[in-house]
Amino acid sequence: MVMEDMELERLSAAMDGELDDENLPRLLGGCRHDPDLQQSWHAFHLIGETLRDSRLPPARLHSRIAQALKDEPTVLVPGKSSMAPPLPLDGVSQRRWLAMAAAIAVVVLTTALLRPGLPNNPVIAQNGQSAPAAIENGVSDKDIQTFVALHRQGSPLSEFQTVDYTPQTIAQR
Amino acid sequence: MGTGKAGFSILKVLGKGIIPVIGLLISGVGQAGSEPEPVGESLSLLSRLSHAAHDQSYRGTYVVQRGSEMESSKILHARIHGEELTRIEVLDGRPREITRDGKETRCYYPVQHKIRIEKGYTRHLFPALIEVPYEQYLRYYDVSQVGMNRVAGRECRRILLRARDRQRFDHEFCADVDTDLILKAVTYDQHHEPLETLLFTEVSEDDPMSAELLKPTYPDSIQWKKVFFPPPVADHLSYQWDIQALPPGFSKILQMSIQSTAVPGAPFEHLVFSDGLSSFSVFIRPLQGEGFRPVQARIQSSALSYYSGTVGQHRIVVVGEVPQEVVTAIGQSMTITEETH
Repeated sequence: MVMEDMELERLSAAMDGELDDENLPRLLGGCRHDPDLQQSWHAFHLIGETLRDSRLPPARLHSRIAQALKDEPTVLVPGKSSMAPPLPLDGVSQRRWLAMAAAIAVVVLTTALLRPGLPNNPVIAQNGQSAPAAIENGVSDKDIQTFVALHRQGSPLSEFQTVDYTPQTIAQR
Repeated sequence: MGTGKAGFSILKVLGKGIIPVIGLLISGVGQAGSEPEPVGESLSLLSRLSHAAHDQSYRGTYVVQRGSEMESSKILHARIHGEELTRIEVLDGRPREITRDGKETRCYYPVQHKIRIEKGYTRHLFPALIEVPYEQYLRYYDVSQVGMNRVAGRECRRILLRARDRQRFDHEFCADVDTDLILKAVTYDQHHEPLETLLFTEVSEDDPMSAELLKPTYPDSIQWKKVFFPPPVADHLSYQWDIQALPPGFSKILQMSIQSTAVPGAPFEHLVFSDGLSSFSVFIRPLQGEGFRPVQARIQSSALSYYSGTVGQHRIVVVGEVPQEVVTAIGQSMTITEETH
């Protein structure tokens, strides 16, 4: 993250005229010297103008986000998740998540446009094997945890202290 | 947030959850436009990051964060009489302790009374994530400085290693402006979402540090069972392997034969490939009549991708900190040739 969340909040408060006298001079001083803060200032104004401008045609953003989500590969979760079940979202939370999804979609589009690289269908040498089945929906491979642990132990570049010892995860010969 | 006198605030309309996203957007724009450092500057920068982590004395607490999972460790590090010494104590979950000196890395599992001993290669332990030769990083990553941040109460310089292709992830380090010590390391996916983050929550220089502090805290460990790593390569493999879609820049750094009780049957041949910042493992084992349905997956809450399939009469598993398309391409492009007698 480029910038402290607090700094962005202060910037937002300043633009709303709600920043106190103590923090305002500090923020304005920061704006003079910090290019990131200047970009935030412009970004906030741009977003504000866009939200206010009712003349803009609908961007069909929801359908593009839905398509992007549809194209995302299914994520397999090794083992049991310790996460609590999701809480029902109130109106404010729903709006917040929608906003985040919209912004993330922009990031995805931006990244894809800016980066040359792997084609959509990576070149895969054929070895006579049939292609794997489509990514399995919600199926957990019982071996995944074991191989993840073995990789983290075996690769010098992986954070292996995060691997706990169990007879299943310690490789031996 | 600030939309001027128009009467409504973006923060009020969209909620504060938009703040990190806006930061991310600005971050992405800024990084896209940031010019890579000249080669000489990049090498100098990487060298300073490496030396800071290896040569200075410091102690602190750092956190490994993967999605919603988080684990903290305490680290002490010093160079005493020319020898680099490290002790890491994992603070969450079951107790584990890692010590490293010039000869080996040891991981103590006190509950099980076992010690894992690694020799023959240098394990990357945060914040020592950059190793010689520094030129290896410049072949497949652009190095640029992308601004400042503050981590653990210290000002730090953000250094982006941006992958030149889509066969590896971007990495970002934030290095202390005074000491060049890496205070934060982030691995980003192809959409610039953070996959893994390591960061100090507090750190201090501690020069000179007593060697006593760097000794393992388990004095009774002489009787513990020792597991040596890497295990030896199989005496003779009955097959030859080849990866036709090996991503450029990745080379084999380890090969060993392993056995896990969780995967009964013949031992696996375990190959580890790295480009200096990321790695992936390939596991190969002859099938013994069992069948496998191919599976590919991105492992949630981590930078890891996974592929499992078969090639001829062998099971193949590829797992590593690379995009999912890459592990799939690796697995599907493997060839196994049985030796003829």
